[in-house]
Amino acid sequence: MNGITAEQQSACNRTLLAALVATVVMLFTGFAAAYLERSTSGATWERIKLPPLVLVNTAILVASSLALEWARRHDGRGNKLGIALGFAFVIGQTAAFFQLRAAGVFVSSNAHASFFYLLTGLHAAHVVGGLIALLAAVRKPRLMQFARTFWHFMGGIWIYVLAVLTVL
Amino acid sequence: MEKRKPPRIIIALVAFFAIFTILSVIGFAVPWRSEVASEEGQGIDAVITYLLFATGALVIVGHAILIRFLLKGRDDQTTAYVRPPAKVEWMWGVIPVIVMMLLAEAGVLVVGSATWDKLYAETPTNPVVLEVVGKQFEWLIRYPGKDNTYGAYDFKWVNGADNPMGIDEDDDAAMDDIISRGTMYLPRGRTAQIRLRTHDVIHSFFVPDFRVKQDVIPGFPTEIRFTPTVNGVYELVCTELCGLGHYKMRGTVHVVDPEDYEAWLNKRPTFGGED
Amino acid sequence: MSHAEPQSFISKYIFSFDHKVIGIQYMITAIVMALFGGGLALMIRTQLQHPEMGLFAPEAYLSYVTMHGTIMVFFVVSMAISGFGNFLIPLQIGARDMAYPFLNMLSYWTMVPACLIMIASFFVPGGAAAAGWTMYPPLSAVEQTVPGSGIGTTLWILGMALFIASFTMGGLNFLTTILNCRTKGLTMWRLPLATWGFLVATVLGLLAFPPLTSAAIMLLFDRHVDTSFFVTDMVINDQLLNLGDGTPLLFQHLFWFLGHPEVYVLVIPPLLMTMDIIPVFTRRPAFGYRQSIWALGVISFLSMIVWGHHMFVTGMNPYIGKYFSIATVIITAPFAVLGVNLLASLWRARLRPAVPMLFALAVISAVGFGGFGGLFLGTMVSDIYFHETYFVVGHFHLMIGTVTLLGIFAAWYFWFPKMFGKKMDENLGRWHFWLTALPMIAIFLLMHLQGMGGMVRRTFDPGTYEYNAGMNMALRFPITIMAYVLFIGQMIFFWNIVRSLKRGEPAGENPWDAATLEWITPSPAPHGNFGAALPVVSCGPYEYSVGEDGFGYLPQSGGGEVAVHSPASAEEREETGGTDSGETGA
Repeated sequence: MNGITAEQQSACNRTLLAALVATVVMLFTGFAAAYLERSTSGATWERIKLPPLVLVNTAILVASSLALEWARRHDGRGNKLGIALGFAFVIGQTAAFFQLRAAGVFVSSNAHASFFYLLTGLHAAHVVGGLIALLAAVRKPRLMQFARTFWHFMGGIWIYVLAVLTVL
Repeated sequence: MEKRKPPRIIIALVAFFAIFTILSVIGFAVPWRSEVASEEGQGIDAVITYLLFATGALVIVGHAILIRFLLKGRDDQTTAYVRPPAKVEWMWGVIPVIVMMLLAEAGVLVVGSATWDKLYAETPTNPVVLEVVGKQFEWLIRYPGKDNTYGAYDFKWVNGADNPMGIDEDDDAAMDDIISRGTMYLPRGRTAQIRLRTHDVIHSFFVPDFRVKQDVIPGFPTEIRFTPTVNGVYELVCTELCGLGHYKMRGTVHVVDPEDYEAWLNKRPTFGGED
Repeated sequence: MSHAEPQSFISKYIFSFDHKVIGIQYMITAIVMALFGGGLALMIRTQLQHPEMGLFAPEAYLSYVTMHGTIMVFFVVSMAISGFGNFLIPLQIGARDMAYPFLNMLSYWTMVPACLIMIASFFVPGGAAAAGWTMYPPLSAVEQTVPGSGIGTTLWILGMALFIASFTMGGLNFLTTILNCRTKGLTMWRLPLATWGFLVATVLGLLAFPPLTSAAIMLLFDRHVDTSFFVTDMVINDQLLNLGDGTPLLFQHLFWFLGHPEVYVLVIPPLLMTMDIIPVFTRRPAFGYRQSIWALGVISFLSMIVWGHHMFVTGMNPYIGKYFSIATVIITAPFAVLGVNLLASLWRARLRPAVPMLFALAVISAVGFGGFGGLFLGTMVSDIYFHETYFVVGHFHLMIGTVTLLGIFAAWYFWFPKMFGKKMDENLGRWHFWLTALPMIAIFLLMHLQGMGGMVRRTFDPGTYEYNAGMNMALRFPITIMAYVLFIGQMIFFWNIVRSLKRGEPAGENPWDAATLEWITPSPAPHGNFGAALPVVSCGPYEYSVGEDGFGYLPQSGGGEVAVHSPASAEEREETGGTDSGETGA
């Protein structure tokens, strides 16, 4: 062993996760602050219409978290479903991007569109990281609790991003 | 008990600290700043002077303690060292907090507050109103003329040679506007109220003799106010990196008697009078 | 996680998982980058000294200014701190390695491409970024505004992204290891101050960097996909560019939200390493250990809510400006606590003036001179005059240049034996000390005076302005001379390193008679650090002046047994005028 006990290693993993969550929160807070500044600055501000696919994707993401929670109480059955739904979310978000482009809404179309692409894209990138963690956890089950917590957290961030884009 | 001299290296170190402290006191006591030429600048100078005294005292006291402890250190050989009790450690934690809070906040809230309000919160009486555009790499000055109204402007009309401020040639209000490239005239004793804008990058309007400064930000017109008190010719310096010509983005501010100011204005060609 | 002792050259020295090797890798890379950053400084000084000679073009000068700042802040000082943190933390807490050795290796090897990208940016069309290390848009966003805002700036952003990723990985390791991997008996209140410094700086950095990341991403978008987060319609060279209706100031807010905590991330570890070193050479406990830690906490918290003092003259709401000023100057209070504790630690000291201690003492003086300059800038009214003048340049160099580097040098001389098993030569060390401390304090004090005279920074030719003639221009000369002296001093330092590595005096386990855990391992510390059994801690880190006669000390893992200082060397006896062990006075 590295001289630290299994308990210490587990505590390290918890601290790592907490710190990672804190930095991601700060990242999205930075963007939210930018969004708030822009939306209240008095310059032209026109919200784009979000493709309905985005709501479907949201449901898929929530379902994936639920699947992981189910798996937690049922001996790991459901983890693979959760991961599959996670992939579906990323694919769905990419499809939503293409839908928007087809409708003529690009990242540079207006400020709201810029934030949409930016926040959604960044979130999806972090989701990919979460998927990698989940896949690793399938092979090393004692990591699953951390991967799952991070996954739920990314779900929370998605709700947060949606709220910012629609309400703020 | 034999009193031991401190090691030579410590004496050298002490000399280093002492000499630098003395040189600093002398250095900062020299009046580097030019003679202040604005009312608000006097307030700014007052804060600077207050801080020089306050921080100077602390630097001297701190170094005196440092030097004393370094020189005295080795004397105490016979008695065993008694560790300072926690109470003493807490006391010396609280004292610096109180001292610094008083000294520091006095500068902000007592010495400086009135000047800050004067610069930003109060409305000037009988101001001289003008507009300054900072651009790569010159200052353009516009007086609104006898109608006291600026002509409209738009970036699409900006032409470096003929119409560098992008003024609407069809706007009647623009006809009596007075444009100057790089030279500003102001009457002594009246507050100048200057609208600052730019059509390229961030610049900053600074006249060292007035002590005042204000950034000039694209998309966000700002304002600066100051009241010149001494006749003279002063340099206007760009104080925010704006590109290759930043170092030579220089203007001049001429502060003259009110009559001479009016005379200068009357002699200037107007925007409408130009081709 | 565990790792077996590496066998091959590559696994031992290149892709090592060992925190000590990684720490030394960081330090060596920081030294290399310091040569770049320092070279840029000398070019800047030469241009300022002789603008009439036309040695450099304005675009070159601006790229030197920009990259000097970027390289020194992130790729020298921050990297050196990462180096010491990596090396020291597991040793000081009684662990065999960091919590995540693989992540640790990854953090170093992410840093290396970041360095290479920064250097490469000088050689692309348009040259390196030239908008100042602060990189404010629109200057940094629009290619036509200044050369260097083309590919050079894109590379700058990529280099910074890699740096931040590396810093985050390293920071996560530091945090988890310090909090969870301390050996038995090592409570937080028995932690050496150096490790406390790394902990606090890490937390600050982890929380403060992300908003800069968000600003960098938005800048990248503005530059490459036509968004307008920061850019507005503009006219450049009579050409109208319809770039949108963004807010340049937004970038400044996000930048300085990192920027201000960042300076504490830079200052705190060297300052705390200094506080760690002093007790060893005064043979007294550190004064006010707990108070220093509380002060650190207050400084860190406050540092995150005062960023607006970099923006007093941007035209923001004056009430908000007043708030930022009131909050900023509060920071002087906990900082004064640190200063008082530094001084009080010298009370009735039994001084051993070894080279690490000389640097540590110079840190105290530098903090005194430099710290108070912050008051002139934090007080909003005086800042109006000093903003963007050489007063600012002098202040931040004195703090994140002089104070940090003097602290880093103190640390280098102090822990060198533990890293390499040899001692650095004392005489060369003293030459290095004088040729570093003297110039580094003098240069930046003189710059404060130029700031008093209103001389504006980032100026290719200060002679353009008449008000600079006289004192402002005259002061250039001693500054430039001192800069070259400083450079010579560092050559002596490098020579000392090479010489000491080759034929330096072998250091034993504990050449300084220090009490903290790293000193019970062999020098250099071996794989696994502590042999078969991890140490068990029974007391605090600065139990000096204990025992019946008051001349012993308690090693942290000594089980309460008083150790005696080793006999002073002949040199030390001559220098200090007597023996240094077991004496009861004469």
